[in-house]
Amino acid sequence: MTHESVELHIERESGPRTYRVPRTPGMTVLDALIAIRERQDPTLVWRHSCRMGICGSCAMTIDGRPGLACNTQIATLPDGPVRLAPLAHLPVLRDLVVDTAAASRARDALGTRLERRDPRETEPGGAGTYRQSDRELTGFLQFAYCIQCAACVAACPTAALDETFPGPMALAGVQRWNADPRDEGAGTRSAALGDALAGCHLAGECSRVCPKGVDPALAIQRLRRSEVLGALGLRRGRGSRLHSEGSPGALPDDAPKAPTRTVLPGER
Amino acid sequence: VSGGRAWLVSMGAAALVLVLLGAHMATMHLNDLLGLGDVLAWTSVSERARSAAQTGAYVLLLGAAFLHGGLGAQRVFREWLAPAAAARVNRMLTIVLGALFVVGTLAAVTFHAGAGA
Repeated sequence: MTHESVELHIERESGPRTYRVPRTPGMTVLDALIAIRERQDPTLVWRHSCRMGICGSCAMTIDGRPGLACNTQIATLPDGPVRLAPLAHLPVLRDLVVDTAAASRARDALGTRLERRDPRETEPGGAGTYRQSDRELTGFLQFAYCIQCAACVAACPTAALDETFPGPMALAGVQRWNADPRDEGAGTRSAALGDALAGCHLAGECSRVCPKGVDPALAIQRLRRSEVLGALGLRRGRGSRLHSEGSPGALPDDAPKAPTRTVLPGER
Repeated sequence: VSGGRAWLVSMGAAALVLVLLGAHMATMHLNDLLGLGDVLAWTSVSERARSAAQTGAYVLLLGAAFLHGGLGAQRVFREWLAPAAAARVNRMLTIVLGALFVVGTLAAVTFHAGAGA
Protein backbone atom coordinates (compact mmCIF):
# COMPACT_ATOMS: atom_id res chain seq x y z
CA MET A 1 0.00 0.00 0.00
CA THR A 2 1.36 3.40 -0.94
CA HIS A 3 -0.07 6.87 -0.46
CA GLU A 4 -1.27 6.76 -4.07
CA SER A 5 -2.70 3.26 -4.25
CA VAL A 6 -4.14 0.49 -2.12
CA GLU A 7 -3.31 -3.18 -2.54
CA LEU A 8 -6.00 -5.67 -1.62
CA HIS A 9 -5.54 -9.42 -1.22
CA ILE A 10 -8.97 -10.99 -1.56
CA GLU A 11 -9.84 -14.61 -0.80
CA ARG A 12 -12.18 -15.43 -3.65
CA GLU A 13 -14.08 -18.57 -4.41
CA SER A 14 -11.62 -19.30 -7.20
CA GLY A 15 -8.60 -18.59 -4.99
CA PRO A 16 -6.72 -15.55 -3.69
CA ARG A 17 -6.45 -12.54 -5.99
CA THR A 18 -4.53 -9.30 -5.60
CA TYR A 19 -5.82 -5.93 -6.80
CA ARG A 20 -4.43 -2.43 -6.70
CA VAL A 21 -6.71 0.60 -6.81
CA PRO A 22 -6.04 4.36 -6.64
CA ARG A 23 -6.35 5.65 -3.12
CA THR A 24 -8.74 8.51 -2.35
CA PRO A 25 -9.10 10.58 0.83
CA GLY A 26 -11.31 8.85 3.41
CA MET A 27 -11.46 5.71 1.30
CA THR A 28 -13.24 2.79 2.94
CA VAL A 29 -12.79 -0.89 2.20
CA LEU A 30 -16.18 -0.77 0.47
CA ASP A 31 -14.99 2.12 -1.72
CA ALA A 32 -11.98 0.04 -2.73
CA LEU A 33 -14.16 -2.97 -3.56
CA ILE A 34 -16.48 -0.82 -5.67
CA ALA A 35 -13.46 0.60 -7.48
CA ILE A 36 -12.25 -2.91 -8.25
CA ARG A 37 -15.59 -4.02 -9.60
CA GLU A 38 -16.15 -0.88 -11.67
CA ARG A 39 -12.68 -0.65 -13.22
CA GLN A 40 -10.93 -3.99 -12.97
CA ASP A 41 -12.99 -7.07 -12.23
CA PRO A 42 -16.78 -7.04 -12.57
CA THR A 43 -16.94 -10.67 -11.40
CA LEU A 44 -15.93 -9.85 -7.82
CA VAL A 45 -18.93 -10.52 -5.57
CA TRP A 46 -19.82 -9.13 -2.15
CA ARG A 47 -22.94 -7.73 -0.50
CA HIS A 48 -23.58 -4.11 0.31
CA SER A 49 -26.55 -1.80 0.50
CA CYS A 50 -26.71 1.21 2.80
CA ARG A 51 -22.99 2.17 2.77
CA MET A 52 -23.36 3.71 6.22
CA GLY A 53 -23.14 0.88 8.77
CA ILE A 54 -26.85 0.31 9.13
CA CYS A 55 -27.77 -2.69 6.99
CA GLY A 56 -24.90 -4.95 8.06
CA SER A 57 -24.70 -6.66 4.70
CA CYS A 58 -21.05 -5.83 3.91
CA ALA A 59 -19.64 -7.71 6.91
CA MET A 60 -16.44 -9.55 6.01
CA THR A 61 -13.09 -10.45 7.46
CA ILE A 62 -10.83 -7.43 7.16
CA ASP A 63 -7.20 -8.00 8.04
CA GLY A 64 -8.16 -11.06 10.06
CA ARG A 65 -11.04 -9.52 12.02
CA PRO A 66 -14.74 -9.41 11.20
CA GLY A 67 -15.99 -5.92 10.39
CA LEU A 68 -18.08 -3.84 8.04
CA ALA A 69 -16.41 -2.83 4.80
CA CYS A 70 -18.41 0.40 4.69
CA ASN A 71 -17.25 1.79 8.03
CA THR A 72 -13.65 0.60 7.91
CA GLN A 73 -11.38 3.25 6.48
CA ILE A 74 -8.23 2.11 4.72
CA ALA A 75 -6.29 4.70 6.74
CA THR A 76 -7.18 2.94 9.99
CA LEU A 77 -5.70 -0.38 8.85
CA PRO A 78 -2.07 -1.40 9.35
CA ASP A 79 0.40 -0.65 6.57
CA GLY A 80 0.67 -3.28 3.89
CA PRO A 81 -1.90 -4.99 1.71
CA VAL A 82 -5.48 -5.10 2.95
CA ARG A 83 -6.46 -8.74 3.38
CA LEU A 84 -10.13 -9.49 2.76
CA ALA A 85 -11.94 -12.79 3.21
CA PRO A 86 -15.50 -13.93 3.78
CA LEU A 87 -16.74 -14.10 7.37
CA ALA A 88 -15.21 -17.13 9.06
CA HIS A 89 -17.17 -20.25 10.04
CA LEU A 90 -20.13 -19.37 7.83
CA PRO A 91 -20.95 -21.12 4.55
CA VAL A 92 -19.48 -19.20 1.62
CA LEU A 93 -21.93 -18.60 -1.20
CA ARG A 94 -19.50 -16.80 -3.47
CA ASP A 95 -16.32 -14.74 -2.99
CA LEU A 96 -17.03 -12.51 0.04
CA VAL A 97 -20.70 -13.46 0.38
CA VAL A 98 -21.64 -15.83 3.21
CA ASP A 99 -24.90 -17.48 4.13
CA THR A 100 -26.14 -16.00 7.42
CA ALA A 101 -29.50 -17.78 7.27
CA ALA A 102 -28.57 -20.31 9.96
CA ALA A 103 -27.56 -17.53 12.35
CA SER A 104 -30.80 -15.69 11.65
CA ARG A 105 -32.85 -18.87 12.07
CA ALA A 106 -31.18 -19.50 15.44
CA ARG A 107 -32.14 -15.97 16.45
CA ASP A 108 -35.74 -16.37 15.33
CA ALA A 109 -36.04 -19.77 17.00
CA LEU A 110 -35.37 -18.20 20.38
CA GLY A 111 -38.41 -15.95 20.13
CA THR A 112 -36.68 -12.64 19.54
CA ARG A 113 -39.82 -10.57 19.30
CA LEU A 114 -42.09 -8.81 21.75
CA GLU A 115 -44.25 -11.26 23.68
CA ARG A 116 -47.39 -10.17 25.50
CA ARG A 117 -49.76 -12.42 27.35
CA ASP A 118 -52.98 -10.47 27.13
CA PRO A 119 -54.64 -11.35 23.80
CA ARG A 120 -57.00 -8.38 24.15
CA GLU A 121 -54.09 -6.11 23.25
CA THR A 122 -54.13 -7.44 19.71
CA GLU A 123 -57.79 -6.63 19.26
CA PRO A 124 -58.93 -3.41 17.60
CA GLY A 125 -58.66 -0.60 20.11
CA GLY A 126 -56.69 -2.80 22.46
CA ALA A 127 -53.41 -1.02 21.96
CA GLY A 128 -52.27 1.81 24.15
CA THR A 129 -49.13 3.69 24.94
CA TYR A 130 -46.20 2.02 26.61
CA ARG A 131 -44.09 4.25 28.73
CA GLN A 132 -40.59 3.46 29.86
CA SER A 133 -38.19 5.27 32.12
CA ASP A 134 -34.79 6.25 30.85
CA ARG A 135 -33.30 3.56 33.06
CA GLU A 136 -35.53 0.89 31.55
CA LEU A 137 -34.67 2.07 28.06
CA THR A 138 -30.96 1.99 28.82
CA GLY A 139 -31.34 -1.62 29.98
CA PHE A 140 -32.00 -2.93 26.51
CA LEU A 141 -31.17 -0.11 24.08
CA GLN A 142 -27.66 -1.22 23.17
CA PHE A 143 -28.93 -4.70 22.28
CA ALA A 144 -31.54 -3.12 20.00
CA TYR A 145 -28.70 -1.62 17.94
CA CYS A 146 -27.81 -5.06 16.54
CA ILE A 147 -27.94 -4.98 12.74
CA GLN A 148 -27.53 -8.76 12.42
CA CYS A 149 -24.36 -8.51 10.36
CA ALA A 150 -23.10 -11.77 11.96
CA ALA A 151 -19.63 -10.35 12.64
CA CYS A 152 -19.98 -11.59 16.23
CA VAL A 153 -20.91 -15.07 15.02
CA ALA A 154 -17.78 -15.20 12.86
CA ALA A 155 -15.66 -14.09 15.82
CA CYS A 156 -17.15 -16.56 18.32
CA PRO A 157 -14.93 -19.59 19.02
CA THR A 158 -17.88 -21.66 20.27
CA ALA A 159 -20.02 -20.93 17.22
CA ALA A 160 -17.07 -22.08 15.12
CA LEU A 161 -16.93 -25.46 16.85
CA ASP A 162 -20.47 -26.24 18.00
CA GLU A 163 -23.16 -26.00 15.37
CA THR A 164 -25.86 -26.35 18.01
CA PHE A 165 -24.73 -23.13 19.73
CA PRO A 166 -27.09 -20.34 18.63
CA GLY A 167 -24.30 -17.75 18.69
CA PRO A 168 -23.87 -14.31 20.23
CA MET A 169 -26.16 -12.58 17.73
CA ALA A 170 -29.11 -14.74 18.76
CA LEU A 171 -28.37 -14.50 22.46
CA ALA A 172 -28.03 -10.70 22.31
CA GLY A 173 -31.41 -10.73 20.56
CA VAL A 174 -32.89 -12.71 23.44
CA GLN A 175 -31.54 -10.25 25.99
CA ARG A 176 -32.83 -7.34 23.92
CA TRP A 177 -36.41 -8.51 24.62
CA ASN A 178 -35.84 -10.03 28.04
CA ALA A 179 -34.57 -6.68 29.27
CA ASP A 180 -37.50 -4.80 27.77
CA PRO A 181 -40.04 -4.07 30.51
CA ARG A 182 -42.90 -4.36 28.01
CA ASP A 183 -42.01 -7.96 27.27
CA GLU A 184 -43.46 -11.01 29.00
CA GLY A 185 -41.72 -13.80 27.09
CA ALA A 186 -38.58 -14.36 29.17
CA GLY A 187 -39.85 -17.68 30.50
CA THR A 188 -40.63 -18.99 27.02
CA ARG A 189 -37.21 -17.94 25.76
CA SER A 190 -35.52 -19.51 28.77
CA ALA A 191 -37.03 -22.86 27.80
CA ALA A 192 -36.00 -22.37 24.17
CA LEU A 193 -32.41 -21.57 25.12
CA GLY A 194 -31.62 -25.20 25.86
CA ASP A 195 -28.08 -25.35 27.19
CA ALA A 196 -26.97 -22.49 24.95
CA LEU A 197 -25.78 -20.47 27.92
CA ALA A 198 -23.29 -23.19 28.81
CA GLY A 199 -21.62 -22.80 25.41
CA CYS A 200 -20.19 -19.33 25.95
CA HIS A 201 -16.59 -19.41 27.17
CA LEU A 202 -16.52 -15.65 27.64
CA ALA A 203 -13.82 -15.07 25.05
CA GLY A 204 -15.49 -11.68 24.54
CA GLU A 205 -14.44 -11.44 20.90
CA CYS A 206 -18.08 -10.92 19.88
CA SER A 207 -18.18 -7.66 21.83
CA ARG A 208 -14.83 -6.51 20.47
CA VAL A 209 -15.75 -6.90 16.82
CA CYS A 210 -19.33 -5.57 16.90
CA PRO A 211 -19.41 -2.56 14.57
CA LYS A 212 -22.41 -1.11 16.44
CA GLY A 213 -20.98 -1.30 19.94
CA VAL A 214 -23.36 -4.04 21.07
CA ASP A 215 -21.96 -6.20 23.87
CA PRO A 216 -23.24 -9.75 23.30
CA ALA A 217 -20.94 -11.10 26.03
CA LEU A 218 -22.72 -8.83 28.51
CA ALA A 219 -26.06 -10.04 27.16
CA ILE A 220 -25.05 -13.64 27.82
CA GLN A 221 -23.90 -12.79 31.35
CA ARG A 222 -27.22 -11.08 32.02
CA LEU A 223 -29.09 -14.07 30.63
CA ARG A 224 -27.14 -16.32 32.98
CA ARG A 225 -27.96 -14.07 35.90
CA SER A 226 -31.60 -14.18 34.87
CA GLU A 227 -31.49 -18.00 34.75
CA VAL A 228 -30.06 -18.16 38.26
CA LEU A 229 -32.64 -15.69 39.57
CA GLY A 230 -35.37 -17.64 37.79
CA ALA A 231 -34.23 -20.90 39.39
CA LEU A 232 -34.29 -19.21 42.77
CA GLY A 233 -37.72 -17.74 42.07
CA LEU A 234 -36.35 -14.21 42.18
CA ARG A 235 -36.82 -13.18 38.56
CA ARG A 236 -38.67 -9.90 38.37
CA GLY A 237 -42.03 -9.73 36.67
CA ARG A 238 -42.16 -8.05 33.31
CA GLY A 239 -44.65 -6.28 31.14
CA SER A 240 -47.87 -4.68 32.25
CA ARG A 241 -46.91 -1.16 31.29
CA LEU A 242 -49.72 -0.34 28.92
CA HIS A 243 -51.25 3.02 29.66
CA SER A 244 -54.57 4.03 28.28
CA GLU A 245 -53.76 7.71 28.08
CA GLY A 246 -50.84 10.00 27.62
CA SER A 247 -48.28 10.59 24.94
CA PRO A 248 -45.34 8.30 24.31
CA GLY A 249 -42.16 9.17 26.05
CA ALA A 250 -39.90 8.23 28.89
CA LEU A 251 -41.12 8.62 32.43
CA PRO A 252 -38.77 9.89 35.11
CA ASP A 253 -37.40 7.21 37.40
CA ASP A 254 -39.40 8.58 40.34
CA ALA A 255 -42.66 8.30 38.43
CA PRO A 256 -45.46 6.34 40.11
CA LYS A 257 -45.18 2.61 39.65
CA ALA A 258 -47.17 1.12 36.81
CA PRO A 259 -50.00 -1.22 37.66
CA THR A 260 -49.12 -4.89 37.94
CA ARG A 261 -51.72 -5.82 35.35
CA THR A 262 -52.16 -4.52 31.84
CA VAL A 263 -54.47 -1.53 31.79
CA LEU A 264 -56.46 -1.51 28.61
CA PRO A 265 -58.15 1.52 27.07
CA GLY A 266 -61.35 2.25 28.92
CA GLU A 267 -60.19 0.50 32.08
CA ARG A 268 -59.15 2.13 35.30
CA VAL B 1 -28.99 -33.48 32.63
CA SER B 2 -29.86 -31.68 29.45
CA GLY B 3 -31.77 -28.66 28.29
CA GLY B 4 -31.83 -25.23 29.83
CA ARG B 5 -31.01 -26.45 33.32
CA ALA B 6 -27.66 -28.02 32.39
CA TRP B 7 -25.72 -24.80 32.90
CA LEU B 8 -27.50 -24.09 36.17
CA VAL B 9 -26.87 -27.60 37.48
CA SER B 10 -23.23 -27.37 36.44
CA MET B 11 -22.80 -24.06 38.27
CA GLY B 12 -24.66 -25.32 41.33
CA ALA B 13 -22.46 -28.41 41.42
CA ALA B 14 -19.38 -26.20 41.09
CA ALA B 15 -20.48 -24.15 44.09
CA LEU B 16 -21.06 -27.35 46.08
CA VAL B 17 -17.64 -28.72 45.09
CA LEU B 18 -16.07 -25.44 46.16
CA VAL B 19 -17.66 -25.59 49.61
CA LEU B 20 -17.06 -29.31 50.21
CA LEU B 21 -13.55 -29.26 48.79
CA GLY B 22 -12.84 -26.19 50.93
CA ALA B 23 -14.01 -28.12 53.99
CA HIS B 24 -11.84 -31.07 52.95
CA MET B 25 -8.77 -28.89 52.44
CA ALA B 26 -9.32 -27.11 55.75
CA THR B 27 -9.77 -30.41 57.58
CA MET B 28 -6.80 -32.16 56.02
CA HIS B 29 -4.30 -29.33 55.72
CA LEU B 30 -5.25 -26.76 58.34
CA ASN B 31 -5.75 -29.35 61.09
CA ASP B 32 -3.06 -27.86 63.31
CA LEU B 33 -4.49 -24.36 63.01
CA LEU B 34 -8.03 -25.60 63.60
CA GLY B 35 -7.02 -27.89 66.45
CA LEU B 36 -8.29 -31.05 64.78
CA GLY B 37 -5.34 -33.20 65.85
CA ASP B 38 -3.77 -35.88 63.66
CA VAL B 39 -6.43 -36.21 60.98
CA LEU B 40 -4.46 -38.91 59.14
CA ALA B 41 -4.27 -41.26 62.14
CA TRP B 42 -6.26 -44.48 61.75
CA THR B 43 -8.51 -43.63 64.69
CA SER B 44 -9.37 -40.25 63.13
CA VAL B 45 -10.14 -41.79 59.75
CA SER B 46 -12.23 -44.48 61.39
CA GLU B 47 -14.09 -41.89 63.45
CA ARG B 48 -14.95 -39.89 60.33
CA ALA B 49 -16.10 -43.03 58.55
CA ARG B 50 -18.50 -43.78 61.41
CA SER B 51 -20.12 -40.39 60.98
CA ALA B 52 -23.16 -40.52 58.71
CA ALA B 53 -22.78 -36.79 57.99
CA GLN B 54 -19.19 -37.33 56.84
CA THR B 55 -20.20 -40.24 54.63
CA GLY B 56 -23.03 -38.18 53.18
CA ALA B 57 -20.64 -35.32 52.50
CA TYR B 58 -18.24 -37.67 50.69
CA VAL B 59 -21.05 -38.99 48.49
CA LEU B 60 -22.30 -35.46 47.85
CA LEU B 61 -18.81 -34.29 46.86
CA LEU B 62 -18.42 -37.28 44.57
CA GLY B 63 -21.75 -36.60 42.90
CA ALA B 64 -21.16 -32.86 42.54
CA ALA B 65 -17.67 -33.42 41.12
CA PHE B 66 -18.94 -35.97 38.58
CA LEU B 67 -21.85 -33.72 37.64
CA HIS B 68 -19.72 -30.63 37.13
CA GLY B 69 -16.87 -32.48 35.46
CA GLY B 70 -19.20 -34.61 33.36
CA LEU B 71 -21.22 -31.68 32.06
CA GLY B 72 -18.03 -29.78 31.31
CA ALA B 73 -16.55 -32.76 29.48
CA GLN B 74 -19.76 -33.19 27.49
CA ARG B 75 -19.49 -29.59 26.29
CA VAL B 76 -15.88 -30.17 25.30
CA PHE B 77 -16.83 -33.24 23.27
CA ARG B 78 -19.68 -31.35 21.61
CA GLU B 79 -17.22 -28.73 20.43
CA TRP B 80 -14.49 -31.22 19.62
CA LEU B 81 -16.35 -33.98 17.78
CA ALA B 82 -18.97 -34.19 15.09
CA PRO B 83 -22.52 -34.08 16.53
CA ALA B 84 -23.25 -37.79 16.08
CA ALA B 85 -19.88 -38.87 17.52
CA ALA B 86 -20.23 -36.40 20.38
CA ALA B 87 -23.66 -37.80 21.23
CA ARG B 88 -22.25 -41.35 21.32
CA VAL B 89 -19.23 -40.37 23.44
CA ASN B 90 -21.41 -38.35 25.80
CA ARG B 91 -23.80 -41.26 26.30
CA MET B 92 -20.84 -43.48 27.17
CA LEU B 93 -19.44 -40.81 29.47
CA THR B 94 -22.76 -40.61 31.31
CA ILE B 95 -22.81 -44.38 31.78
CA VAL B 96 -19.18 -44.53 32.95
CA LEU B 97 -19.56 -41.63 35.39
CA GLY B 98 -22.84 -43.09 36.66
CA ALA B 99 -21.14 -46.43 37.27
CA LEU B 100 -18.18 -44.77 39.00
CA PHE B 101 -20.57 -42.84 41.21
CA VAL B 102 -22.32 -46.05 42.22
CA VAL B 103 -18.97 -47.72 42.98
CA GLY B 104 -17.76 -44.68 44.95
CA THR B 105 -21.00 -44.50 46.92
CA LEU B 106 -20.90 -48.21 47.67
CA ALA B 107 -17.30 -47.87 48.86
CA ALA B 108 -18.16 -44.98 51.16
CA VAL B 109 -21.25 -46.70 52.53
CA THR B 110 -19.41 -50.03 52.98
CA PHE B 111 -16.58 -48.28 54.80
CA HIS B 112 -19.12 -46.46 56.96
CA ALA B 113 -20.92 -49.69 57.79
CA GLY B 114 -17.65 -51.53 58.46
CA ALA B 115 -16.28 -48.80 60.68
CA GLY B 116 -19.47 -48.74 62.70
CA ALA B 117 -19.47 -52.49 63.22
